[in-house]
Amino acid sequence: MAPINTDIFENYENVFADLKDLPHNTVDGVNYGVPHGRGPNLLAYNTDETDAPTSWSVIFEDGAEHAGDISVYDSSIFIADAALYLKNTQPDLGIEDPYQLTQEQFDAAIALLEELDANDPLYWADYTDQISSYASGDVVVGTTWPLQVNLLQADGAPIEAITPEEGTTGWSDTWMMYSEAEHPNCMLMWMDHMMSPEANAQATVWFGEAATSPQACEAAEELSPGHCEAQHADDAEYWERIWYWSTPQESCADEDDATTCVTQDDWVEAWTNIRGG
Amino acid sequence: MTTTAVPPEGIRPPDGRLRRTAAWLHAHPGAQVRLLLAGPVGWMVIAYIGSLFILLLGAFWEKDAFTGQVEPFAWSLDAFDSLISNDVYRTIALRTIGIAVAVTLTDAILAFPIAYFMARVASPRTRGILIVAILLPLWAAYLVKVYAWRAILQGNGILEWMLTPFGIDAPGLGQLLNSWVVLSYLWLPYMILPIYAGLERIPESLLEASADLGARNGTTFRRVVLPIVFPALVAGSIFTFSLTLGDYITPDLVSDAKFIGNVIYDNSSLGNLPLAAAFSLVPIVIMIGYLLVARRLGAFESL
Repeated sequence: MAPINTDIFENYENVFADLKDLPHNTVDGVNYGVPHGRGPNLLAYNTDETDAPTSWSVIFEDGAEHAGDISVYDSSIFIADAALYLKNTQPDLGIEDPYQLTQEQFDAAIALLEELDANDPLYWADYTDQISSYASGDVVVGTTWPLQVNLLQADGAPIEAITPEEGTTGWSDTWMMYSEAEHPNCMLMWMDHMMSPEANAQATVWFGEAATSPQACEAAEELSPGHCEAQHADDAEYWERIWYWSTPQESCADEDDATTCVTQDDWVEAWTNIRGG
Repeated sequence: MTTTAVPPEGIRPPDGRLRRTAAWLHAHPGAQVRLLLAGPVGWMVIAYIGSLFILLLGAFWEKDAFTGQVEPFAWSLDAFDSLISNDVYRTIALRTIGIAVAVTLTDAILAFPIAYFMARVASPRTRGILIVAILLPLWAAYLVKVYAWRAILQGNGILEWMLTPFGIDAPGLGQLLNSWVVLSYLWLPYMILPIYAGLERIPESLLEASADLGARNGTTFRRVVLPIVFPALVAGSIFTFSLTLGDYITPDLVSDAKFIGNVIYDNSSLGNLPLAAAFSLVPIVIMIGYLLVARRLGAFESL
């Protein structure tokens, strides 16, 4: 990846401070890209079928109540959602980052997911697949993205979504550039364009994610009133509870050599074990 | 007075080099064939087999644990180790093969009467209508058909609406059986057409001769029709079996049970590419074995 000098962009200075210089796109103070948008993985529920939940316990601890009606994202990254729940409910495990887990912490997350799997959830990989499952009432509660909630609510489905009290996993997207790109200037202009109020508003409103600057929020207000408030775009406190997707690493992504963490490959294999048996 | 006849432009024999080449080619028919086939065969070997070969080579390479990038020529059997040491891959492989066998048997049983009716009973007009009816679904996109099946199987779907009055709970999405039903539906035409072609080839006189020699209908079917049409049945089964073995979208959309293809997909997007490559060897080896047996049974003459 090519290092990016953010000073050359007209629109970079407007970007929210808590989106800048994050570990997923900055190494030793050097930026390798610019933010595009961010969002949380939400807990969705059918208002006709269940009371409003406040915690992930509705699928983890009390999953049996909704056996057969739980919607779960079909990817190994979902292990982090279980780890985040354990971070809150079992502080003894000492989980700090739900993506960097020691073997013991990882095993606890897998045990929790096996309990969830025993409640016969419906796994979704494709978001249209999940929309039809919520719309038809096949599932009543489970994980989702803001995009599906937007589309379901636009169709009048009785679906609401919350950010549970434990916080949640989420994503923060970055535009990056290949170090041997043939036309780097073209990409740099694209990056600046995508941070511009108009373009960023359009892109983030369509996808249902948080815009990246106050100016983009103003532009978004015209496209979809209340967009930035609903997506917590400028609410730095909100984003402190969101754990952005990142790669599980053997080094635990820290300087400490004493601990080793479970790697991405083992995450995928553990997920296959849960799903395949 | 004599004039030299000058042939009109266009039918003049080609000059020097072209003419020599043409003459040489005429004298060497083998070279002609080779030149003709060089393009398509080259494409086949380089683009088709070559890319497959590189994919399979990846099964023997190591990968970087963080970036997930495969390190070419770093030889390792790690992928096969994890494939063998973890039972879940065997379970998934056996599940996939089991459904492929079930789909093949189901399609054979469903296809035979239809093909027989088309080939030996129906009037030419009815036969034409039936052929169109069988081919028509092939024009609709695969995904559209699978989503149509979701509409049947899901909650508040057609199946639930039909079963509820009888007090039966609809199974809903997430059942392995859904994959069996939907894949049997999807590949049925590929079974009907070869059997139909095989049945049509049986001369009427053979059946008459069988009857003249005192065979009842059942005996004629068992000892005359079935042996002749069996290679066609095997030919159809190549399609139903291999298409099921490689499918991963239908299992994902109508059921929750992973097939070999789902594991390959999961590992190629996020995880372990060498493992995905190693696992993809399983259906390839099965299909090579299947095709060898099919050839012995004469299926290739019925394609």
